Amino acid sequence: MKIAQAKNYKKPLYAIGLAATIMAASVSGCTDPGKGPDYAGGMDVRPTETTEVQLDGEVAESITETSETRLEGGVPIDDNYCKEA
Amino acid sequence: MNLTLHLTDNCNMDCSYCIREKCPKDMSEEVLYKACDLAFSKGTRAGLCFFGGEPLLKKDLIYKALDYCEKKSEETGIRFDCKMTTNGTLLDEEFLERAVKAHLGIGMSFDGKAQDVCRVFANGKPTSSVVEEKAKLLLKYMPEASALATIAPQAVPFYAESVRYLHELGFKHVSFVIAYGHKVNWTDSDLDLLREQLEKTAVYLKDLFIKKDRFYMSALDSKISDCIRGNNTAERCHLGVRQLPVTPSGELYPCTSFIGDKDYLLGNVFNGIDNKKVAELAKKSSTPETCKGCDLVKRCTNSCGCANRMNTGNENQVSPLQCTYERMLIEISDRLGEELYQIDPVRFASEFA
Repeated sequence: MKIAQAKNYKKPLYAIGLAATIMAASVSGCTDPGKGPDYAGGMDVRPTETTEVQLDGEVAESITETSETRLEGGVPIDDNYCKEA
Repeated sequence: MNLTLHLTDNCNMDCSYCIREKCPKDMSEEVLYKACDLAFSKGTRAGLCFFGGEPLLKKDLIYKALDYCEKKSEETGIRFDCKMTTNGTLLDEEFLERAVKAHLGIGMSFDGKAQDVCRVFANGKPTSSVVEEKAKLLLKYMPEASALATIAPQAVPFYAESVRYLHELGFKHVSFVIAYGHKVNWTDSDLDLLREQLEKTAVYLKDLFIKKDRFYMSALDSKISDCIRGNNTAERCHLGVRQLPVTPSGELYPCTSFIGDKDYLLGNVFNGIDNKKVAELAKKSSTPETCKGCDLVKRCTNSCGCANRMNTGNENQVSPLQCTYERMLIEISDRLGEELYQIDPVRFASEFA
């Protein structure tokens, strides 16, 4: 096993083909309503029903919650943290 | 905000890859209620994940937390969500009835056909027969419950078989992750075998897709979905932000693997979160040097501070193990995604996009 950088990677056709559909859904407001907690103990557990297909172990979720913003470093921060900091 | 409540450091099992130190320390009611208040104090929703140790050793605390938070949600109008990660051995009908009422999502740690390889009771006895029965009980009450499998090197030969077994048992959602940390020792041959097992799993998932049997297997499905949505999985590490663990004594840390390291202590439930430390932690987060320039930098979990810390001791340094595993997952999931898309693009879109 080693650390190896991938080069000349081509995005799969399925993703290219569906990207426009996703964009249209986002623009029309069909976005994720928010995120609840994740299942603890895993690394790529998914959110359940209301969020995506499901759950968390908590770390492999997309950030679409309206209450979250991002710092310049690209790390999502809850708005309220920013207000209190 | 979301919190993971470590209700106890005790556990009735002794899993070979578990990095948590077992001890008899339980969360007090005082800490529990303070933690609930904290969850409701920030953001537009409150979320708790009950965890341990084994959280069902402290069912009384779970009932109290649910009662308290449901009432608080009614009073404040703030939405309350809750989940639990459990080994399942102590599940019973009474608890499940209350869990259903509370819309408690349950993730059952269950390694499938490899269950007895790594997951045994504290007295050394196997757990598979007990857990299989409890899984059936869980699915009777919660058909959407998840199975959470952790694959250590010695469990790799059972990987594909375990995916099939959990599906046939009735789970519609399964998460498969590989075990990280100092308790496991991965070799190149383990990873070669893991690749074979993942490819077998992809064939199985393809068969299910053809049969129109929707089954969500996180390791591969999430890569496909994220690719379509353009999600940057490298941004998924939210140390100190997304979901803070609360220890039995009420201390707050960025993520479970950081518990006990005072350099990362972010406050406690009595005095609140040290926002300055959270901001400092966020500033320290960066793409690992070894990943800058990689075409897959936005598709892998290279910035998962928890995994990096367990593997390299540094939250901003990726390990050869993780890099190799992530490249493998992306390659196999991309191939699977193309095949499913060709079979039925409309259904593929509805299931993955």
